[in-house]
Amino acid sequence: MGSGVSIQAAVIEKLRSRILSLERHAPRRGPAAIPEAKDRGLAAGKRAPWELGCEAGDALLPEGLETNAVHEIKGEPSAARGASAADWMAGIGFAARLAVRRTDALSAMKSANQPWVLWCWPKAIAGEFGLPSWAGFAHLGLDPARLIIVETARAAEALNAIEESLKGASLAVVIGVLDEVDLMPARRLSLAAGEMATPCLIVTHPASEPAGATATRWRIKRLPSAPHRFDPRAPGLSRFEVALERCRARPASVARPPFTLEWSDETRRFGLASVMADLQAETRRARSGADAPTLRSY
Amino acid sequence: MRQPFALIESSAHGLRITALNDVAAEIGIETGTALSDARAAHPTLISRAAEPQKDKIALLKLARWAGRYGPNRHIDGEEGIWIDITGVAHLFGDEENLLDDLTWRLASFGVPARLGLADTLGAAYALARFGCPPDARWALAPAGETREAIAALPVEALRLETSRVLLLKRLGLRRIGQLYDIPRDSLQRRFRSSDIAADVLMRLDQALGSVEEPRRPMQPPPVLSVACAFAEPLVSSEAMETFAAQLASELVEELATKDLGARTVRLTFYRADGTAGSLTATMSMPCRKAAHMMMLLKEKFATIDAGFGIDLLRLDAVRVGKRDATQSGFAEPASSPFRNPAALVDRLVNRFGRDAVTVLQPRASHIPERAEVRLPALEVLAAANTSHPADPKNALRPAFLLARPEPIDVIAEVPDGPPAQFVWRRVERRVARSEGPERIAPEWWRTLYLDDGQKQPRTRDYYKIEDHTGAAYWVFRRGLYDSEEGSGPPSWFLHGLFA
Repeated sequence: MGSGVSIQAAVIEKLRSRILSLERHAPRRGPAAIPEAKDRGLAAGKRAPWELGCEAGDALLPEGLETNAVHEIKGEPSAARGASAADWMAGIGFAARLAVRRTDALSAMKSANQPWVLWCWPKAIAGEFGLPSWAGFAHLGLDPARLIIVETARAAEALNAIEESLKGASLAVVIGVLDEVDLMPARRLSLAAGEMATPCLIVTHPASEPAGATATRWRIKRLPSAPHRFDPRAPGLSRFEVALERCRARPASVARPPFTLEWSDETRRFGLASVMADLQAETRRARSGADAPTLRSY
Repeated sequence: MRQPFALIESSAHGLRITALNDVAAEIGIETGTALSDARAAHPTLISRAAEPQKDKIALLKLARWAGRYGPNRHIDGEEGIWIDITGVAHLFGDEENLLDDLTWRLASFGVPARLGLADTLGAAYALARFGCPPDARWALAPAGETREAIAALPVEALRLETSRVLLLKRLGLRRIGQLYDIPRDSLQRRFRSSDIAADVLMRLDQALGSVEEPRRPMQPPPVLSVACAFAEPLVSSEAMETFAAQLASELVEELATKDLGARTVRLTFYRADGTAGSLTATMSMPCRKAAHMMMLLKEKFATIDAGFGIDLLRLDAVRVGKRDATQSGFAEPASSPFRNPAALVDRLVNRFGRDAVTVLQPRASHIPERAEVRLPALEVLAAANTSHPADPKNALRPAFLLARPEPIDVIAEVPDGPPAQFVWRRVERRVARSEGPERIAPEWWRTLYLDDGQKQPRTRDYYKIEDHTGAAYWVFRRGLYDSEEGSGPPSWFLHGLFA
């Protein structure tokens, strides 16, 4: 009898794995459906956990960000219709730092060679913000020597390029900056990301409709930076107000109130901003007696 | 009944005839006469304005088509085409058959042509223009008999300037053969000018083949080339794909025997109606994978217009590189989960163009916009694993630099201090905190010799400023107060955005 049961179990196991492989490309729901890509030798190595690096953020996503899905990042629009460069930069900054977390997690695994990052945007948006700069990206923590920049003439071509890059299985993360992504392209991106387990971060216009078919959606607002450790007049560590607006794997996380994260350039991780430390800094600043200055146009 | 027809262009003395059809030539009109004179004699003459630019394009098209007789060819002047048929003639039987074939095809397009074939470009030029018997369409100088073949031709055939031809004629030298016997030194003495003599002798030597003549072909000759001709023209793109894939695997085999990999491949297709087109794929690493080449080419197959069918497909390796130098097996461990991005770059470049896919490279300069350069990824990846100079220091730099610094209106506490308020893109922003200045002086070695009208570069003071919403900008003040004479007051610019 015992052997019969084990055969049955084996059959059921086999069927389960078959269903799983059939459903790999279907949208996943629930925490149990964290994808398994172990059967692909190529994909297996990429499953380094991708986390924010602080407890408050990682409590939302116990498994980390999914590495085979699309994550959307939006700035907080400052006006009803439009968005300023600053609103965009909040989302772009957060995405770039997530990419840093990803490359760091990968380089921590000794087996992997230095992974490449691809940055893709249409010319119209690139014209607004200029060019990614070598020194600036090095300052952020992304290796600029391993950055491919794709600038396409139209937004549709950018989507095409992102999809192609996701299928290439040669990148740590693809960052796309686009005005908006419709449902169909978003689904295509999601499938492409799942196919080769290459994650995709898309930063979209702060005031546009959210894209569908994404694993998570983050709403990012830039906050005045933390007080500088030594100079009260200088900006300190960057701060973001982060809200998780959508989370496919854990819908319960969405209800959490937004929280303030602080990016440390040295440890290259997010931390929960400490308001107490700010107060101390404020008093220090007040004690140093800065009077209201007189301003003139020069 | 065909009408006499002429092409005209306006000159200093009114409209002049530049070209005629044969009917017009038969009734005695000559090129160069004024249109009004010709009209007076032959009222039925039809005329149109000449369009030399279009003529040239048509000639280039014809030269492109002529690639079926040899890969090295180009237009020659305004009315000629040269083709290097070295090693090609036997494909057509012999040289005479080749000339017959070419004449027949040109005639079938309605192109009246005269052909000359000789060992050298100069001799072929002379034969085509001056050596054709009146009843024949072509003239042939058999191999090694160039000297005799052009001896009887007039000296105009030597491609000399008109003034030099006149001088030769005045000296009684009317035929090329007359030049053979004159000692070279005495020729110089006769001309009284070493320039003219050198010119004449050079042209003569080129025609006789004792001096090599540089020729610039239309396209660089391919390093390797495989071709496939069809008895029945291909129309369906599936069939073309199949044959292109066959050619690709043939080419890859040839590359493998020479230890090469292709950097650029070109698939040329010759249509049955005599036109030709081509697809090009460029690869960042020397490639020896037929599948990869085909994938790149296949994406462009949709743009092929097969017309009446394609009767010849040719795949060339235009640029090649040493393949074994960048073997992937050495570059990355087998267990690496990431593939080399070269293949991805190839696909992206194939779709969006060479300049759309770029990588950054640092440069030795401390001027921010000069400290880095964006280069096509295709070229940089090919230079495989170039060691870029190590980062000098982790300087405070914004993630995005504007293409050119944008002027801003600034209100500051003190003239030399950081801004307190500024207007950028018509929005007023209040500065909460600032860091700086970082003073960047112009590179003195660039300020030594300035062109006229070039502005003296000025010192910049850079600040990182943060407005009350937390957005951070990189701004600079160009110029200093009271230190540089003759330059206006300092002005403010926004140069970058911190992410």
